[in-house]
Amino acid sequence: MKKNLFATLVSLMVVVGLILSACQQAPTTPPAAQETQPPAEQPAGKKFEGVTINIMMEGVPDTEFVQKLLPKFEEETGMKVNIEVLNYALMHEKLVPQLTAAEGSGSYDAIVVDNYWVGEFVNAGWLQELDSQVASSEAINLEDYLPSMVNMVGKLHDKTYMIPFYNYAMALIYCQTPKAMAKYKEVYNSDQVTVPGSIPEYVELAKSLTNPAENFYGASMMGLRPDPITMEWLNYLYSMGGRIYDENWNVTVNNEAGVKALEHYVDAMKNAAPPGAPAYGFDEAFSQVAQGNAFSYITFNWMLPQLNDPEKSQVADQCQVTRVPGGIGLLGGWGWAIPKSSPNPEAAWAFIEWVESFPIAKERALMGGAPARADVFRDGDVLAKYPYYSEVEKIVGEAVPFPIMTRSPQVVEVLGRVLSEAVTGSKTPKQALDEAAGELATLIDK
Amino acid sequence: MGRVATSPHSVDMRASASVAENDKPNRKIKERAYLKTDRWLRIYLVLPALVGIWVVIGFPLLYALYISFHDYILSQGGIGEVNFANYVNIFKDELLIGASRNTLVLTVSVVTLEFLIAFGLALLLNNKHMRGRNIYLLILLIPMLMPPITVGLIWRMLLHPELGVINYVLGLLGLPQPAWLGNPNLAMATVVIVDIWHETSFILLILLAGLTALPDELYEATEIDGANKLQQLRYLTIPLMLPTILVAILIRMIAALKTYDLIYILTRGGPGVSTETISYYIYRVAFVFLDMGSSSAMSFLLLMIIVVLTLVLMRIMRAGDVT
Repeated sequence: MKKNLFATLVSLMVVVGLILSACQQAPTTPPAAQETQPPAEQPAGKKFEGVTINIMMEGVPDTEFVQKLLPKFEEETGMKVNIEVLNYALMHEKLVPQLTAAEGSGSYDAIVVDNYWVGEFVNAGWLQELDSQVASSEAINLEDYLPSMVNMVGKLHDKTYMIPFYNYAMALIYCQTPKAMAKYKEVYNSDQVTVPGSIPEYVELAKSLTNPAENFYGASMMGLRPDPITMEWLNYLYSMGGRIYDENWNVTVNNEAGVKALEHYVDAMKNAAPPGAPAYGFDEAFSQVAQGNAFSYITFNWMLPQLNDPEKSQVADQCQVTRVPGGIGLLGGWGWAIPKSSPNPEAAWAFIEWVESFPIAKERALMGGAPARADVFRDGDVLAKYPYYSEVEKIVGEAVPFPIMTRSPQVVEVLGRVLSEAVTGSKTPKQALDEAAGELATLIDK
Repeated sequence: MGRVATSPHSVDMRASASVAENDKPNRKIKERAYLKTDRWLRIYLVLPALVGIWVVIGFPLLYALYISFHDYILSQGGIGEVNFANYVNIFKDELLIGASRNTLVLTVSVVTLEFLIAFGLALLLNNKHMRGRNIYLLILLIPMLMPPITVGLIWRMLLHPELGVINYVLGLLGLPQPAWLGNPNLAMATVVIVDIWHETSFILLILLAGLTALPDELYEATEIDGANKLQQLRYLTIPLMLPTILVAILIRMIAALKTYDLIYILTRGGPGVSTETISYYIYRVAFVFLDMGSSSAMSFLLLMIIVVLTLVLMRIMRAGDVT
């Protein structure tokens, strides 16, 4: 009897296990390409009636805003837009096999391209040129966008491959919570925070406000490999005058400015950040600030509305955004593109025209989105709601992007690894950057 | 069929056995004829599955072997020139050597600890008079039902140095609150702990099934001979369980050598390179560096190592059977 019961139990477990495994592997791939083809006979009226397009996007606020506005577009055009939302870390590996598919036989009709991937995707010949579509479009004129965004996620080799979607220029966010201000007053004898003018000053400020006994830290940081730590450190590097490569593609990451930048970064990680920060990703770093456990962090400028949202944060309305200390931070951004493997490029372009038209781009910005269009940044309604957008426009205009090259994702990997080694102390900043320099030299476009 | 003609109710058992004995040659001839005539039918029935297996396993393996001898970077066009250096470079790749060391530490740690814990638990649960045995078993098996990604995410939250439950409880007890995944000296141990939590139940299940199948008579006989529990374990349970133990260790070892998902979720190989395993490194070479040639060569080498280890263990098992 007991053996029977045991056998039943085990069988039950196996069945439940299989079901759970099946759930885990729930199809994330969009419906087959055939479904995206327009039906043979289209009813008069709506041009894209019955057409379905598939788009892969990252799970970020700007994606949510597009999703919220989609019903309007679907109603107007009859088109059905499937947005597959993924974690950033999964996107590249899932996109590449689709992009290498034969013309018209991929799964995605339109994609969003991170600035790290621009060189790789364009040089591999995976993206369609959009110059003719832009030239005949009434809704999209690249002159309306900030030049820094067009240069990063718009044009490459004088051809248009993407339409800028949103920026993620990095900035300094600091929160004047009662806990932080009490400590600030204790150290600096002032009620008014003076924003540090350089990275060394910022690290000193963050260290002076840190009090582990009270679980309060001057800087929340993100040391997870590969992109969180790379993105964060590049702000230190750029702000201190360093670059990964110079204008002739010589590796300069390990010069004096680079080493100094990494020394300050490691100092901040050890003496101003929570003890778990070497393994933090974006979410963990955000949580520390949102829970009032950290005074500041260098992050995407559009994290400010999230921190000022009482539903997501305990420090709502106490935070401010400003430039990365020293002035120049990392510019990041996404662009819309149509892959050559797109089964329905015409419908994909219709969607891009709609989502990037001024009224929709403005609506997204009013919802808290991060604009790429200059006219949206300067719109009266947008500025009335988010007065700091004028500061963000300057940040986006002046920030420096990641080098655009075929093997940019690999550069991120290499930097992520050596920076993490420097943080853990297994290599000195100089050793880590020298090692990176050797590998980075092999990754430049030949 | 011959047995049906001899009714067990019509004659005594001895007569019945004799008839069955006489029927044996006839039955064998009929079976042979049946097998011969239906030989093609059997082949036809098995063929689709056989072809299917070769298409989904054989073809990708051969294709991977082919590209492992070529330059093939996805973003630089199709398959390039023949390049035997893919295999040579593996032995010069210091990161891969470091990842191999980490994988060895991880595999030896998790297999040893999981086996010891699972064997202890299996011996406890093998007590048929234990109250609530099946409830304990059910609870112990729950981790096995969870996908590794879910396990990784749950533990990442539990282990959060400042916001996680584990450090909160440690704080209440006045104990140190370590940065479990942020400290390079602790990260691998943390991965081992999470893996033990997740995978021990798998070994437990195999060992318990083996223990349940052991004949009670042997234990009763040794009890009569005056053997105590420890002697029964040493001279009866362990020798009889040896094949099952080896199967459990073999399966677990192969899986541990391929550990990828837990690393991906918990540490991404960091801090530094302290938790980078071979599989995670191969994943990076393949899907970030898009270097299909090198990553295929590395995968094949890993496959070879696993095959050799499997053969060695199987040989040991067979030797155990003979003795």
